Amino acid sequence: MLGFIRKILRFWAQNQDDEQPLSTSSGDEIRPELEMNLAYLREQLGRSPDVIIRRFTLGGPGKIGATLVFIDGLTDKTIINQDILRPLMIEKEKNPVKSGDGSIIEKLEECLVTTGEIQRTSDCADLIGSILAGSIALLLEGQREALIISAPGWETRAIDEPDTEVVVKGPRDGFVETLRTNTALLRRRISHPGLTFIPLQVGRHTKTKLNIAYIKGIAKDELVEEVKRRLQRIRTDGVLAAGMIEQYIEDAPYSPFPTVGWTERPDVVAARLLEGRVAIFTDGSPVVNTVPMLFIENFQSPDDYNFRPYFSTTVRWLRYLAFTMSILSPPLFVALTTYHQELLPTPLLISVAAAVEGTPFPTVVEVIGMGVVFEILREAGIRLPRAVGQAVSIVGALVIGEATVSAGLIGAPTVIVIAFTAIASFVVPYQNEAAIMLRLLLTILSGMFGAFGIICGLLLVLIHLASLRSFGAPYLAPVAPLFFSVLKDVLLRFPLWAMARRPKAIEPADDRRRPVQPPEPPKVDWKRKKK
Amino acid sequence: MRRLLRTTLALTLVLTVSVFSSIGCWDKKELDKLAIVAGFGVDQVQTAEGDRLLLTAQIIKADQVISPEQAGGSGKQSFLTDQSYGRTVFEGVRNFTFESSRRLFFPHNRVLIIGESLARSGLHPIIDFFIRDPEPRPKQYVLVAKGKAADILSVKTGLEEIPALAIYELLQDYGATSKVYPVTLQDLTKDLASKTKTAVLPMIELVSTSKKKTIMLDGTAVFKSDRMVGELNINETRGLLWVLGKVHSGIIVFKLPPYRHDISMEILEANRQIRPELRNGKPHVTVVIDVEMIIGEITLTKNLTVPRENEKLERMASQGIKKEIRAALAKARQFNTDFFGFGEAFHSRRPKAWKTFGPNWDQIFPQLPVEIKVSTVIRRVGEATKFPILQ
Repeated sequence: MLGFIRKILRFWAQNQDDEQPLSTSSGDEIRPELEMNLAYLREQLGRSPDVIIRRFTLGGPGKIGATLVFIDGLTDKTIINQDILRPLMIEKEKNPVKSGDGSIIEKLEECLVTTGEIQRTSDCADLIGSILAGSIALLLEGQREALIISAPGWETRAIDEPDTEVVVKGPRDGFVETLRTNTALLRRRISHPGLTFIPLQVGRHTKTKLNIAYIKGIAKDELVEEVKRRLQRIRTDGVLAAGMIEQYIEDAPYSPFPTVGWTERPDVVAARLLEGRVAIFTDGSPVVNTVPMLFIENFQSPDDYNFRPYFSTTVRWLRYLAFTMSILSPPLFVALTTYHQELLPTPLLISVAAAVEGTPFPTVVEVIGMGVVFEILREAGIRLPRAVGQAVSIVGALVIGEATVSAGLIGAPTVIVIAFTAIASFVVPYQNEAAIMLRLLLTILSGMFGAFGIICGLLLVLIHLASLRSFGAPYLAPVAPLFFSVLKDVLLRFPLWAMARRPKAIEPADDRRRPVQPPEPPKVDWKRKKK
Repeated sequence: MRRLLRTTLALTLVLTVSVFSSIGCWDKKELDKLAIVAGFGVDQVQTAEGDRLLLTAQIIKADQVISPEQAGGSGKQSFLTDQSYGRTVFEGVRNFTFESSRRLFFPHNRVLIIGESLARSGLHPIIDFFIRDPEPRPKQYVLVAKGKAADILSVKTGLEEIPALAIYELLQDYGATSKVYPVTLQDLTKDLASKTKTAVLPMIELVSTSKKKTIMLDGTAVFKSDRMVGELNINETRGLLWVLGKVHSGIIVFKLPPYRHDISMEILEANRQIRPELRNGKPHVTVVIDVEMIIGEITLTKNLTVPRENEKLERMASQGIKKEIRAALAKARQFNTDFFGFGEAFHSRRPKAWKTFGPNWDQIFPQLPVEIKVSTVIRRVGEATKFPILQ
């Protein structure tokens, strides 16, 4: 089935036009004539008002012409004024540089410009790229090189707790839209020299910056290479968010199940890197992708490790149950009430039968209809402005829940089942997209074949899940294939000091966590102490 | 290529649609198209066309059970008694469709009641449908009605909304007295299939007083092959239960000589063993019963909770139990029906000897010597030692 869809889609993809060559041709060198360089930049950048070209003369005896080129709004004005223009124009006199000196640009870099990040380039394309990314270019008359001074100064959002992944007993910071801030958040958690970032750029027009993060010595080198290879393969106009990166690098693009993990929490990324995974930071997106992704990750919350094992295990079982119920309760309800009435205890059957009495639609139609209504309400709740959202939920709850039942259009048990399903589906948010489809598929199957249909559908899903791979890791690991040594974080959440191994499915370069030891409180002999 | 794509797409669409539409909803039965049968009765009646089976189905009116006021005021019954005739059970069941708009749904049937006259003429033709058809469950109880099953199924009883469910509860709670023997369809089938053990079924009767009618469990019907041949009263029924090892609890009342006061003892636990033996080549059965009891009620003021009196009490209780078993045994010999399963005991534990006398079990059983050994132990005396007021 999937193979068929794959063929069709691939066929479509082939028919699309091949990529056109880049418009900005690289290889142009910076010339000694300043005016020619400026003309070239004007031609390339256009006459947008946010491109600022500031001409001035270097102070001192040389009177050398110089120009700053930068984008207004992306750069820090204070830095330009205090650290670039002031020393170059005024304080230059204290540190004379003669005209025609070949190493003048080197001197400026060494002695005058007082900012931290600075580099030299002689390539025009590189220069334009840096200007557009928010750097300041300093061009000098008679020089074949230009200085690129980094002084980012755009507006950013403050670090905030992510709405999607709230925890009770964990850190409250979440990623923001700036790549450097995000990598810094991670660096603050892992102060190990092994933490490595590999910069990449994707998107022909957006030139989105990516950073691959991993810990040398824990993550497998092949995995890092594979991630790099897949990211470099991306050829597209633009990448605007991490969710788009996911779709270009995932293993099974036709599967309803995601094979690339995501999170907005630095602590989660840190934990995953420590397990041997690789993270992909995307500039402009607060979401960080991690690979490989295992199915079990959906059920692991950061709070699991912040609370003690008993509670965490219980909660994890609740999550398993909720996920199962969110997929199975509508189809089971349909199967039980239309095919297998003998399976219900008599009093329950009487209650359900009484509620269904006189409703006009078959149960399958009721369940699918109410399911669709719920999805509409959910979607509306996300998109609508907050103030209106509340009104929608009231209308949804009252009109759809209450009125349809009292009008006898829908049986009360159907509403109960759908409401329960809705709540259960929020317990495991990462799999929501897959759960919606599965629920619908299984409900249709159960409407046609009863429990037999459900079981066939589940088997299909199971076979599919077992065949999935995420960057080489079997999706259902460590359950299928079974890795005994790492089962300590699946059905039961063992104490942290008992989890001595990193997940085997990810094949970390070093799969032992060292050192792990249980707490050892000093032994006190109370009887002796009393004396 | 484009054409290929279009053809494949069209083909998939056609196939999917046809597959989904041609299957339809196989075996689908919506809940509001079903008549849930809670109790089912079979009687034999004379009609113009000759002997016919009268089938009575007690159908649950679900909406009445849940909200009686909303669905048409009080006084309405939450069940419906529907009737149909047929030469066979199956024909009769299908004939229900002449008057019932909904199809009868048997999996939730709890009790199957058979009229006494029909029981006397043979169970096989009645039972077969309920065993062969996949819908009725083997765990439903089977009873024999004193009189007509149809009458019993049309009476509204005490607290329960559905009388058939009430009968089911009555049978479930048999352990309170151990004077009723509940038999499921499965047990009955097993008994009917056995060569020597004969079937028994609990009996139910309609009791009419001037004010109202109620239904009551009363005694046990005894079968020879598949025909009912006699009855056990409630005490004889407990005699049967002692031997079958089905006594869970219950009260034994007796007088302790020389006093003329009644003493009630509660059965705490009972174990039984049947020992089939050969004495001088002749079959002989020993029934050993160990009972633990609590003193439940003493209506005289003397302190009986001293060891000497205790022993006496234990002896009297044992005698009471023996009496019950003997009464049941007498009935078994009278009807020549081995409902205790002694034959089966020989069959399984003395297989060689069984081969010689097994075929003649019918002749042997009435003279079979049965030794009954009962030992009773009083475990607790209750919260009082002697009558408290006189202290």
